[in-house]
Amino acid sequence: MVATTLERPTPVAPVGAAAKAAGARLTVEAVSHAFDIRGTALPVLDRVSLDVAPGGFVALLGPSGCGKSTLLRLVAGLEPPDAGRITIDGAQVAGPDPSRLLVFQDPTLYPWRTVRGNVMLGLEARGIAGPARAARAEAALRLVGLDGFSEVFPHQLSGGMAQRAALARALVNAPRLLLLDEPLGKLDALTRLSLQAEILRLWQETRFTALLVTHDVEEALVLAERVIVLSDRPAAIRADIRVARPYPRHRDDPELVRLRRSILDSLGQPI
Amino acid sequence: MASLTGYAGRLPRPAAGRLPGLPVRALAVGAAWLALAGATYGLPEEGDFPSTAAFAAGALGLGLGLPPLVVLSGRLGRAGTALAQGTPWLILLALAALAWELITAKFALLPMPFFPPPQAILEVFLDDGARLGGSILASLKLLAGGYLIGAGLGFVLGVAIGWSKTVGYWAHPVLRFVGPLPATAWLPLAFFVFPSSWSASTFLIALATGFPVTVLTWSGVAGVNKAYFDVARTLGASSTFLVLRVAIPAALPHVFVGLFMGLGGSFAVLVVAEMLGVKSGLGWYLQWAQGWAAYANLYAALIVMALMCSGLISLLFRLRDRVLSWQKGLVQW
Repeated sequence: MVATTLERPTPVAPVGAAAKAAGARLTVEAVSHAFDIRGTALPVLDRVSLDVAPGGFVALLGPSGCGKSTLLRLVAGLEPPDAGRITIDGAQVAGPDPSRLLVFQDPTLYPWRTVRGNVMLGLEARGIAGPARAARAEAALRLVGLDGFSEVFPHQLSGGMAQRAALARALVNAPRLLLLDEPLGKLDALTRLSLQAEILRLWQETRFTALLVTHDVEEALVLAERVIVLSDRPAAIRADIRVARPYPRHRDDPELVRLRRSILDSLGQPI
Repeated sequence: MASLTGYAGRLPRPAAGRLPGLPVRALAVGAAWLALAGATYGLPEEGDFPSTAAFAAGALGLGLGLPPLVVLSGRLGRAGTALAQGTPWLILLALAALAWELITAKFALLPMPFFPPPQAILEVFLDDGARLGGSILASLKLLAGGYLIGAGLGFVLGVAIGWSKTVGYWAHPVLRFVGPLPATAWLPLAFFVFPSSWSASTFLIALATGFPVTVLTWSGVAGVNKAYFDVARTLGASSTFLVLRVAIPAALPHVFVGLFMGLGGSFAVLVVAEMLGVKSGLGWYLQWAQGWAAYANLYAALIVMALMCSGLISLLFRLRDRVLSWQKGLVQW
């Protein structure tokens, strides 16, 4: 399969384009957030600070319900944080923006649109004209290995294929920060392995900044350059582990096995 | 009609089990219609029915024409398949007509003016066809006006209530208070408030259609998966885009349920309005026929009305199948 670059097809792009298309720097400064549940505040994030270098791949690991997904929603701009600051390349996040995209655990494809129609969604929403739109959608579908499926409706796709389509829907917009909210959480083990390799390849090819929420320790170690371990709710950072191993990584790598043990330890899990 | 949202699994179109071979069916259908022709023409009648010969000739024509068509149905494309599938019904139809013919015209087992024989109804179609046709047109015109206005306004109102908290705040209590009132209850009021009985009836039909369409559109829009909006918002969608490209398409299956319910309700109001105020249409025809004790006309009008309502429902199903072709497992009508 020939992979195609999405956003930078021709060298005549504006000068800043190449630099701009690379990953964004994400800074989270002392962010706290609480949910309002019938008048009582349920704190979910407690002064979380982290810094992700442009083009970096960081995994957020923590017990379920600890507020990882909330942090992603805040970074995506879907909700403002109660306290603290989130900045992208120094600019404070004020709302959703197509340069920061979320991929959810559910593919959340629109069932009334074909796969291509789903992938074109962001381009359509921003008023990008028809022919360019379709061509870019096709390129994105090729990138995730779904060429030939553009006319298919989502209910005809398997779980893994639907998640690939959801990835294409994000990548077609050339995001500079990709927020992955347990994107492989509902897939079977084999599909998960192949999509992990796929996400890694896409990241290496397009160099977006990636922030992955997962509760699969192995997944975090195989994919991320840094693994941040969060505590129980309200989530605070408990450990920040650098994974200095070359890609592609092997699950049985003794260094990864050691890290896995220490992470599970810090999560308070028996090994 | 089974489940209308279309979320149910694909129901197989009811097909006949194992049918006997084509030649057997061809013979049976021929025999049944010929028997009807023979009995109608040959047996003496209790009464004077001018169209007996025409009815017998029609049955004779079917008795002679159907068997070869059934035998050759394999080469007649889709119509042929439908004919081959439908032969048992054609046989049953002939036998039922025969029984009806014998009970009424031949042996006079039922009180006569109330239960006319088939040829009397045929006579209505032949002699009074123009007036019946005109009534259908009048009914359709009245229904279409009221239904389209009601469905359109109901849809817009439903989207507005589902989308905007302010609209919901003001519209919800009104809808709750007024909506469940049957549209026919407004009839006496409508006929003196509106300048003409036609506009009053249009209003009533629109009301009967509008309520279910509003409520179901509203519930459809309110029930759209919130993640769909999150997706669109992160992708840079404006609120217009969220309404037109996310909320409305996602709500359409519900909207169609509302449209079906509204259509059923509009039929009821149409007939009542025509019986009580409007001086045209099938409802008026029914009333008029009853007034003249023209019972054959009554039956003829009922048959026509059933065809009209069923046709309109089929049309709406067609529309839904086209618009919601992305749904899996649509119920076939």
